[in-house]
Amino acid sequence: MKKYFLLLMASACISVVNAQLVKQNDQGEKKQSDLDWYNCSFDKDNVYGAEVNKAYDFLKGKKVKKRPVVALIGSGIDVEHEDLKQAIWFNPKEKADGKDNDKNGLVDDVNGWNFLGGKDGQVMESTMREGDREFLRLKDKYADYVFDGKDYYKVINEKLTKVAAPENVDEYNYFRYQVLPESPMASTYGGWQLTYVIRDYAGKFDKMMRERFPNKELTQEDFGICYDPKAPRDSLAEVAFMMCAYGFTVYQTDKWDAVYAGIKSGAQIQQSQADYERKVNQFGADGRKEIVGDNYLDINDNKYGNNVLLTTDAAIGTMEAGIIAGKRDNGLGGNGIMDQAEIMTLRVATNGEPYLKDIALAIRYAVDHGADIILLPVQNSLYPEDQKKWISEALEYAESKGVLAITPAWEASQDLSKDIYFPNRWMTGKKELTNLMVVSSSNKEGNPLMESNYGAKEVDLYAPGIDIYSAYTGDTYQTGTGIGFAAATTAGVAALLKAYYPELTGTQIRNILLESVTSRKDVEVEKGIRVNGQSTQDLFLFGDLCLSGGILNAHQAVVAADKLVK
Amino acid sequence: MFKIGYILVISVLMSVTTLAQSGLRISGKVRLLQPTEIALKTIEGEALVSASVKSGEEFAMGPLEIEPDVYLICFGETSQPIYLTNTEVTIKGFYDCKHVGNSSLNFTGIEKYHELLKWLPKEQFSQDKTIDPGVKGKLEGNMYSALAYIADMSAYEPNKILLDCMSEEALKTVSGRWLQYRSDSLYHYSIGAPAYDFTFQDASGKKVSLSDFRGKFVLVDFWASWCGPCRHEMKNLLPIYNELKGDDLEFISVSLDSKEANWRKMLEEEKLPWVMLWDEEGFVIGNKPNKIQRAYGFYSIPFIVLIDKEGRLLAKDLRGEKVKEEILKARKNL
Repeated sequence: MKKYFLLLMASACISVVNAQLVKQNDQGEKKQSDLDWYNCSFDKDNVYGAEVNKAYDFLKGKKVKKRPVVALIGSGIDVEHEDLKQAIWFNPKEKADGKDNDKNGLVDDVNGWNFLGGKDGQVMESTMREGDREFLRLKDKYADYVFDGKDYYKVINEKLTKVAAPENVDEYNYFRYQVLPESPMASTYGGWQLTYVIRDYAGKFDKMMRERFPNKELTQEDFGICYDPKAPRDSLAEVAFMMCAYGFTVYQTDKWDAVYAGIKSGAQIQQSQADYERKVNQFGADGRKEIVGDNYLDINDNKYGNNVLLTTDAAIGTMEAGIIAGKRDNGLGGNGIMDQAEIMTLRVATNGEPYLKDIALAIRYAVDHGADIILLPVQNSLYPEDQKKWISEALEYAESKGVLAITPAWEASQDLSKDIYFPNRWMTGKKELTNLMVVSSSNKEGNPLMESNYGAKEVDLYAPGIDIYSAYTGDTYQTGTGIGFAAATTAGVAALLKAYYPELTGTQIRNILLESVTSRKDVEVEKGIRVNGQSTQDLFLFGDLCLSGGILNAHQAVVAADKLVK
Repeated sequence: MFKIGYILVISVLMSVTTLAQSGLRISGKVRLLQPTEIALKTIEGEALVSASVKSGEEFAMGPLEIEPDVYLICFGETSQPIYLTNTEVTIKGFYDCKHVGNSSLNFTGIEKYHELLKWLPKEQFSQDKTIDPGVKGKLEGNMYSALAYIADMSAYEPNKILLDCMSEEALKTVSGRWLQYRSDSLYHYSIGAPAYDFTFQDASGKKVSLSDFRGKFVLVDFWASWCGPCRHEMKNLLPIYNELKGDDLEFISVSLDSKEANWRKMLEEEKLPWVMLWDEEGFVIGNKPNKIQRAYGFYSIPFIVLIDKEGRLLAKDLRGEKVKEEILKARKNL
């Protein structure tokens, strides 16, 4: 420790905002196994790719029978990218003329649609967290209840007052146990309320001590009588006692009067109110009302958005599209898995968590406009019940039309049999969805991404998704790691099957992909896990991490499809 | 779920050819979220040429004859220093004015710049950056000063290494002059340079200057009452002072308290036997260090320097036993 108080001196020479726009060239002469390595295979290239090159060897002489349509429900895209141009979906019935030629209610949806757009061409660049949206939706109803495990209270005129239980206890419990942990706004709101509770209890403690020790200057030692481990206690008194005890440390005194004066002054109340207000400013709005103007809780309010697809998040969609359908063997970028696929872009996601209504409408749009494969946004741990139904129904609709949907698993080292994420195959509450795949990322060595979520039933398979070289916005190329890349690789292989064997349904494609993986079932791998909220790691058999016990394999998939179709 | 979807960008594919021609010409086609002005400026801020550019449309600037040097290519509010010669430069890619880190721009015709980048310091912080002395003879003309400009190093020595690589001719160019000036100002707080002569008030309000102590070694200790480590360090100075005091040595503690009362309270508490001064400018928190910090080049306190009998900087950034060692060494070297 040399520098105690570090101040960064603003450089005297450069006054304008400075950024590294030009990035250095260290691409050099790299092999495919260092770049678009998902094409590779372990026996030939020493990396656990998805064996796409080998699949093409097998397919030699066979013809593409259909240009499969892959809907990217996620970020924007660069539709003019030189390596992607041939693979951009055009709505056959729509023209860019300011009219709704195909009468689907959306004007000029030529290459797809931006559900996060406004009529004036503006686009949203962040979306609120689902937890914060739900907190704001239910705040007036439930946020003011204080529950001590037995009774309900509210802070009325700054006093903690017992009240009747909420009318809809189930909804209150949903709010308390599911929404609150997902909302930073809610937790500061709770903290603010707690300061009232503490002040209320401090008054009770004060009275208790004065009765016990009349005419005495009360000290920290005397305060000890307020805690009686034998007497039945409720959790609020418990918390209040701890917080008051902490006051002796904060005020650096052993005199109760000083602590009590501090608590009574209400300084903490003001401070935590300010905390809450800060969070509201930070997370409480994303401009949806002003920019898009729809009611996100009404699924029938569905004529909104615009057709702007080049957005600040477009790099993600562009890289995913490059993996799926970048032109093969043209000397530009990497080789996409199925370059005859057509990419339909439906923008619902940017910085933040997407709205479920947008996802549900995008799924329906994709199915209605001929998509064969749908790439969904990453799974989320909170799906409000009513909105979850929209997604369930949309996925069932896709299933009924033979459309495959693929969703990336989140990356928090969680076991999905314990921590439920959506969408999942059981979310409809009816029979299991057969067309939905959940995918996690694996690396060149064939190991799972340490932070990937896992589940022996819940995750279908692992797929190449780390350090992948692909198309990037503006006719450039980058190597990157994205949470959706493994799902993109899987979508690419699914598109490859669909192109050569168009009779396969989404359900059949899923089954083939599951059965044809490069099996790693009995291989022991290191994997990040969470124990009591702490990150740690453990050894796992690959077979316990996902249903198929292996890594996506295009070659074995086309062989299996060929057999099935014959 | 508190994370967002992400892409970690690692590298960009870069350029190939330089076309021999007269004058610099910049052209290209970039994808943009909104129309943006692309401008070429000197590092002194003089705009040479600019173009208003729309997404996906070709643009061109020049040709114009330039002195090969480091220039700023500005995309809207963002500027990038880049070494340019009289070549054809093309730019393609994506510029994201809202999240500049998402941008990806692919330049051709900037080989000299790439050559120079190979010598860029790897260290993250400006004050830690160093230059490989092996650079000498590997670059040409004012590429050395351009490298210094792009590297943004706040220590004197690496800037001096680059300065010494330059010809008279090269020193006359814009970046050459910049490096000359930069080195001169950094020299102020390099070892052996005349120490900045400050004047502050003592407890009686009397103005006291560093130059008042010419003919003595002077240990100057910059501190503030709120800085725990500083007060600790001062207590360590006391035994050293008592052991070494003499006619040839003076200790000065300069307080960077912003409130005079805090400083005076400390004087009462510590009652130290040497010269106590107060810089009313205080220790400036934020992006603007005060005059004394700039003159002596420090970002943190305590900061202790030793000054020789002629008022030149003898040692800096001293701590604990180092203080005693340096004083003894200075006495011996006389």
